[in-house]
Amino acid sequence: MSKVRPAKLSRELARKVLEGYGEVAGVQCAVLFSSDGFEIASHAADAAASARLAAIGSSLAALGTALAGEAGLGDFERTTIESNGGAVTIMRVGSSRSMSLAVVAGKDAVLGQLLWATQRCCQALAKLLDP
Amino acid sequence: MSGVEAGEFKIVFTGPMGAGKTTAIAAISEGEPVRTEVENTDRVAHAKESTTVGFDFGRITLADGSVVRLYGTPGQVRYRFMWDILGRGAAGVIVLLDASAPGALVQLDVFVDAFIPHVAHGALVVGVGRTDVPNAPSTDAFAARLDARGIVAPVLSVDVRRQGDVMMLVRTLVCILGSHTAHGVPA
Amino acid sequence: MQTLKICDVGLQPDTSHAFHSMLKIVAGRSKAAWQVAGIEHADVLFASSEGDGSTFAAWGATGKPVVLVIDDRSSWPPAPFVLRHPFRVMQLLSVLDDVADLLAASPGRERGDPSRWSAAESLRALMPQSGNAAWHVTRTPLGEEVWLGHGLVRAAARTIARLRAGELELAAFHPTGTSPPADAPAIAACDFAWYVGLSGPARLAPWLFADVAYRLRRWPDFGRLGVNTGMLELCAMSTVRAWTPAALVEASGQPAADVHRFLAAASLAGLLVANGSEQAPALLARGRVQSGWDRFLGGLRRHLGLAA
Repeated sequence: MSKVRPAKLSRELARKVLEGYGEVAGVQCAVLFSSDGFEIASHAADAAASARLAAIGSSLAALGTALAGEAGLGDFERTTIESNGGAVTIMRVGSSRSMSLAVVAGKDAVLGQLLWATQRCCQALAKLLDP
Repeated sequence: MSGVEAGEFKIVFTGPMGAGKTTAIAAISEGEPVRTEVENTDRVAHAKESTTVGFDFGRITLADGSVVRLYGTPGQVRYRFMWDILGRGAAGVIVLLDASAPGALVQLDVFVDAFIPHVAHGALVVGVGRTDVPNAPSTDAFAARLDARGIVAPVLSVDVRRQGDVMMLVRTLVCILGSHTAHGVPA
Repeated sequence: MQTLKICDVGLQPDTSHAFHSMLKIVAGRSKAAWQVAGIEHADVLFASSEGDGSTFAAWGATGKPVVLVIDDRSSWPPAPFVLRHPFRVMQLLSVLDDVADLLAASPGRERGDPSRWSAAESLRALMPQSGNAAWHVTRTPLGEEVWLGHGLVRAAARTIARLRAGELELAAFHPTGTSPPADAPAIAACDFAWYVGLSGPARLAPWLFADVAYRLRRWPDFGRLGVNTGMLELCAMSTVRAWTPAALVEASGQPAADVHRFLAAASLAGLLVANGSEQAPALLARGRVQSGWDRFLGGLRRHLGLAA
């Protein structure tokens, strides 16, 4: 088993961190996933939905990495998909490329708040999982 | 339907994890292909170090300036959504398999089922690696599997690390496309 | 009315009995008058597909038609006239009429020098049983032995290499009580059959018919066999639809000798079927031919070194 698959205890702690999203307006669910698309922890998403979010999120993070590299812009940090029903933001956790966080928010969310909360959350997760 | 009207000619390489899709595209693409490989954290499923989670992208430019796009899909079923995105509008599909992997024959079914709906002109070619490993199914076993489903598609043993072998797969695909255009039953 | 002589060989007793009694029933309904004759006088052989290889080899060299009788376990062979036992009177009548049509259309068909087909003919007869334990053997002109049995062909490595290159002419296989050296290099019998077909004479093989349309039921594994682009084209065309040999020459623009050798190789390897003897493939062209497609494909073909 590789080092980027956190132990069960760490996954439990990560889930606690994600629970903080309960206080952010408009957030529907959040999924922490490995770069190869496995869910590590989730908040307010059922198992099937979080598995799919993890897979699609990891593709987007990998495409983001490829695109930033192609443009000579260094490492991928985050991407936000905005649609008429809301927004999904995908942000890298910590300095390694091993994990990202996807957060789904409805129309009532304020994008700036969402990004700020997500950055805070990623920092907390990085301390916890990627010291 | 093929996407030639849209100025796009796309060949998709697909197949399970570790079959050599990224290697195959790198073998024939001009320049360095786009890769979206990340660390594989599920070494129980497959021992390889990295795996494609977005797509591979390479290209071949023809003498008249038009471009053939080569896409490689992720191999794992949880990336099925990418299969459909990449398969749409493909002129042809090359399924790569590792004969020595457990369940290789079942994998053939999985990928044929997923990509047949995208392929017009019957343009499907199967490349099978590592048929020389003891107890691995032969290419005949894969062909028989297609026969049983009424599909006539070439099954060729290949080593995708060899450029010549990958080109053989592409040539075979192009011959099929040409035959169906010239001699096929009109739609 | 044409009178044709037919000889039955190798049939199971019940099949033989059915054949002889049905032959009396079809008298007066068939296009030709059929007489039972000895093999040396017969125009047509009526034989079990499980029959003796040397009989097939000798018969094949005459270029006369064969009606093959297969049992219910056998897969449909690549032959123009096939009956599955048990068959009905009307099925026998239909096959006999087809044979009569063929013979009426091509009296005294030119079959060329039979000796050069001898290895291929004996192989053709032996292929259905090539998985059996009994060994058969033949020799190259230099006296090197080539063994067939257990689904394999064993020979010296250099003999196999020359055969792959189409450089060997072999005599007919015959049964032998001995075995090849255990360490002799081996290739699959069906791969060997492919090479024998490709290295045959330029004429259409005697067991193929100029007026029968053939198609490929399965692609050969070119990764194993090696390929040139001409063969890829012929395979691709022959999986789309069935062609008579002449139509395939015409449509492919390839030399008749290449097309004939391709057909011989495909039939010896068990990949060729006469049209109508099996279901057509389900995966046929579904796409509409689009403008720009031909031009684009032409560019890609030139890039890949295929004829444009």
